[in-house]
Amino acid sequence: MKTPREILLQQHEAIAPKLDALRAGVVAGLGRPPARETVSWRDFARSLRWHFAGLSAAWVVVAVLNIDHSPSPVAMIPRDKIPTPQQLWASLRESRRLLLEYSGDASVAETAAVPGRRSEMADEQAVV
Amino acid sequence: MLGVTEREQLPVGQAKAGEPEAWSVLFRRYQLPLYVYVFELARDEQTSLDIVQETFIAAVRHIGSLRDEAKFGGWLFGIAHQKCAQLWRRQNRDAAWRGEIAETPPDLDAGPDELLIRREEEAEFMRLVNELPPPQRAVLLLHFVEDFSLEQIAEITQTPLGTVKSRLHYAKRALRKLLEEK
Repeated sequence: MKTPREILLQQHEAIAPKLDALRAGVVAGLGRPPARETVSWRDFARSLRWHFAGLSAAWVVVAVLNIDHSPSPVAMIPRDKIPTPQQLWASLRESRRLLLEYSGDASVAETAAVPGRRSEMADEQAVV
Repeated sequence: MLGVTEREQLPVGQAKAGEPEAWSVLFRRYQLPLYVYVFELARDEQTSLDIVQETFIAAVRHIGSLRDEAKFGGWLFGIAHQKCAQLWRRQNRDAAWRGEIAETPPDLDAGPDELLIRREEEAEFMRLVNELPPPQRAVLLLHFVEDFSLEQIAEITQTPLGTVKSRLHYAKRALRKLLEEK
């Protein structure tokens, strides 16, 4: 007469050598220090590839969102109203004359407003 | 006969401290009962050896999570049981694990030591164990092989205590019926 336990263990007695080998293998692994992993910079960079891809995508989104789609102020001026360089120069001279006039130096304003000829200016400098 | 869960002095503390010799003692003590349990559920030698090995490795790795050193055996069988359950899930046979017995659990009858089997009944006993549905088989094996208490079996199999009682009752009743018929 046997107990169920005895019968069950007896049925599998033949596996004991394999279990001994298995146990020895696991126990042998305990004494072994864990292998140090050396990580090259390539492996490191490769491990971060998804981070880089994510960051790149984020920057693309930021760049797209920052593009100014509103029409530029220059483009808003009608083409026929753009002043010519001569008109700009005349307007500038007029502004300067008015500024000097308001500051009280009318003579300067007159002379400054109408500069002499370049050839005459050269002669004056030469005399001095 | 080794008293199974009789309060053995096992070097669990030393194993926790990482002593290989202590682990060797613990594994030697449990390797065959654990294999029997796994094999009777998995029904394949190589798979069973793999599960036993994985259980040992997991035990070494997670020994820190074991609070009560006296429960080392149940804890080890719990790891193995989870691995068997994973195997069953992988094989899409987990439906068999869900077959619960809805009846109220009756009081349990005789313990494993009271059940003695004659030599001519041994083969029939093994056949019957193999014919039981996996949930009942698991409970019966834990009861027979390591004489775990119902509470321990409930912990190992992560099953409510009432369910464990039902499964064990019906498994033992089937076993008795067969032995009486013989």
